[in-house]
Amino acid sequence: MIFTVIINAILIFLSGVISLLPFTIPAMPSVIMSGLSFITDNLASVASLLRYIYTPVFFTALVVVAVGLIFFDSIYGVIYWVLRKIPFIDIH
Amino acid sequence: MARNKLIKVFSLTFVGLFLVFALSFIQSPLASASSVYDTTLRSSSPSTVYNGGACSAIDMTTNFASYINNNASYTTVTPKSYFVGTTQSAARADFSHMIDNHANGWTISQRSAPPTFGQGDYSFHSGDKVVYVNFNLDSSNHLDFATYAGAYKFAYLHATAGSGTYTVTLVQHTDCSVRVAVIILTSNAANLSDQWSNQLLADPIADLGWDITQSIINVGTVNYPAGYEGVYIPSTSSPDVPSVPSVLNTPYSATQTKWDWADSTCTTGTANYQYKYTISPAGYDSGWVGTSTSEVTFTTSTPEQNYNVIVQARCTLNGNSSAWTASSSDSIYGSPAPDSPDSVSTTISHDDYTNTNTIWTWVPPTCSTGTPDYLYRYTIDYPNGYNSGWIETSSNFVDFTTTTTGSYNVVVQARCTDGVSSSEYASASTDNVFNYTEPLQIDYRMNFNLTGTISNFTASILPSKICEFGITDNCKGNATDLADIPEPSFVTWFLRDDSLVENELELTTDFGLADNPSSICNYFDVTNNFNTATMLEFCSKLNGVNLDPSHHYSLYAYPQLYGIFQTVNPFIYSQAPTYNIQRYYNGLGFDGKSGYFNKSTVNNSIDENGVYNDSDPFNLSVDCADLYPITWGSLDNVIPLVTCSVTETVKNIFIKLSDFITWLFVPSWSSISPQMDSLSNTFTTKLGFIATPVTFITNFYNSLLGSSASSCSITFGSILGGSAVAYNFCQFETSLPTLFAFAQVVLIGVTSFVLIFALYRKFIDIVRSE
Repeated sequence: MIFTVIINAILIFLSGVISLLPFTIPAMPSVIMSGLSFITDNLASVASLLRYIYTPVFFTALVVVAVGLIFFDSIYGVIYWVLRKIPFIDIH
Repeated sequence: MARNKLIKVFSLTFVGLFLVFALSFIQSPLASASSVYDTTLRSSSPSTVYNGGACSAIDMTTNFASYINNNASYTTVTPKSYFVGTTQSAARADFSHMIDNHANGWTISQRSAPPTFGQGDYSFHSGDKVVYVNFNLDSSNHLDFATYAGAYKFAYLHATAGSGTYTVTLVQHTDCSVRVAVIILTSNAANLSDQWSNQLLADPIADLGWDITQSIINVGTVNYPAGYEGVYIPSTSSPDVPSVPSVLNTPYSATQTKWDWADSTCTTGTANYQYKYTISPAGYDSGWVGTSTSEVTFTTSTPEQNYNVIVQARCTLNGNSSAWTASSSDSIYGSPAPDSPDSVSTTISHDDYTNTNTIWTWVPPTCSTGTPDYLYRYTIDYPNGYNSGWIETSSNFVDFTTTTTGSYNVVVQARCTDGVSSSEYASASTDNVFNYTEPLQIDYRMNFNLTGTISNFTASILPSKICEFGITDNCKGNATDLADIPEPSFVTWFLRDDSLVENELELTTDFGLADNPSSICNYFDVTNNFNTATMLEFCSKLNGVNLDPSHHYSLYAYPQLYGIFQTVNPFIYSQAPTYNIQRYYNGLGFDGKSGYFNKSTVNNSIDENGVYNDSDPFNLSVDCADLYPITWGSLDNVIPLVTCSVTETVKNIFIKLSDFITWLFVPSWSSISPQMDSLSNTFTTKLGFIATPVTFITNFYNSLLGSSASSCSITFGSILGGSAVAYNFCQFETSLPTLFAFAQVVLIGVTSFVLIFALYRKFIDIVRSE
């Protein structure tokens, strides 16, 4: 309840602040949105086909592991940095 | 030292990842691979060629007759058909040169939405092939085959060899102009008879014709695009004259005679017949009447007339018929009608076993000629009235269910008949009225959970009733001993009063130890039926102590009650008594030890005998530790409000504390999502293009991981102006399911290996760098 209240308060505050803005920023041009939609639509189509071939469960695991491989060094660096901050495991 | 610890940490991490990774994909590919080899028949009612409905008059040929005519079974599979093609709009076209070269690679697809009929699966055997044939008929429902006679050879439009299940769909145009036949060819006729039964299709629906397309046509110099349809061209030869049908008459009923004859055998074509029916000396002559069946039935009830039937047969093929055979005839002579019998008297008896039926019987009358038969009429005057009308029977009894309150009446007439002619029905008929009161049915339930073995359990029902014990065989009489009832036991009684003389039912139940029996007895006024019965007296005893008959007692045999009182403290159960308690039930409670509620554990709403008193029927406060009631009665009864004393246990305190902590510190998505949605809407509305990256990232995530949809094709987005399909794997899986499944497994295996190896290399690199 405590965190729920805090989070909701933040969300309400942000909504209020944004809604109080005296101007409305124009939307992204439809041409650009169409291009972005083209990317996401085809990404969804390809992902759908890959789910068909790989099965949805395996495809999800495939994406997760692939992302993990791509950002492996970064993830490792973060984990290693956190571990070094823990004194009793003595990592230098 | 630090490096060793780090290696351990990462080792454990990767081992966990590998396990999760392996478990995540191990099920689906293996499961789909196993189904590849499933060649069993998927449907018990596969489809076959349509030949029915409004277009059944189409004249099929001999070659296909055994497959399509009258839904007959496939017996032989030796098609000698010809196949040509024609455009949908043109009169005809010539595909012969393609067929001569055995063009393959054809597919047949429907023009519009799939029909809701005529689909089925056929499990192919090795070597089986499928042939699709379209029948394109002219306005007279006949084929103009003269132009093409003998010009074409048989074609395999779609050939499937080996094992597998293939779904075929039969379609007919509503105007009968086109028919599609699907024929399965196999070297073994038993395959078809085993797995391909005929089935009449439902009524045809809107235009659902077929388009025939080819993936490959490399025959000659002509390419045939989509939109062609096949036309079946039958043979032009005339059939031979069949064998002469031999007609014989047999009595069909007391007033009718049936003439039938054996089917004539046609070497080609289908046999059809004509008959002539005459009556003399009356002088009737029907003239020749055509028929495709091999029997006719006429009324032959007029005595002293000669009834004669003459039959001829011929064979028909493609509208060409052979000459008629010689005639075969048979006649009968109507004998003088028998004399009417004497009168009939009815008697009534019960079915003593089920006691739900009443049997009316009557003594067969004496016939000077012939044997008697009867007309009876069965009426009920209550509750809604019923009149069966006159029904003919040769039996001297009828049997009806008479469990509903009302007056049942059977009227019987008799006559004498010799099978051809009959006498008039006897003018004097008798009837009998039987009043029957709805049987009393008592659903009387007891739920035992007494310690020890119940050694003396008897039930007495007075006056003589029929009872059925739920855990024993049917019984009839006053008492049945039920010994060694396991605990807890559940006994259901179904009691019925059928005497109509006695209006009082006594129900007595004894239980407990033999030397200290307890009993519950009730007297019900059962003048009408149990639902309106009134309890006259309550005489229950517990441990030999009589209960107060001035009280009305309520049963609360609520199914959950037993489980409720087995729960540990604390338990609070509250249910508002929103409907009436049937107070003619009695109710007793037990704590499982002494056989009833201890007075010290209950308040004043329970008397000294542990009996629930209806003076305060809806409030009961007891200690749940002692509350261990035994309940019985109708399930319609409501459980009273029961409030147990609250004595929290340590366990429950911790549970509630845990729930409280969770509620206090752990936010739930359902409580946050409304504000989150509001913020998202405001964000995208007010901030315009600034919010676009967020929208794009959200869509990107949803496209990649936020959906579980799978598709066998890739479609381009609307930016290309349509729903263009880049490639389609659907046909690959459909046509080559085994290969597809293996390819899937191999692809997943290779991908898994590459990913695992890449993770391994990363891991090794990290370890070595340390």
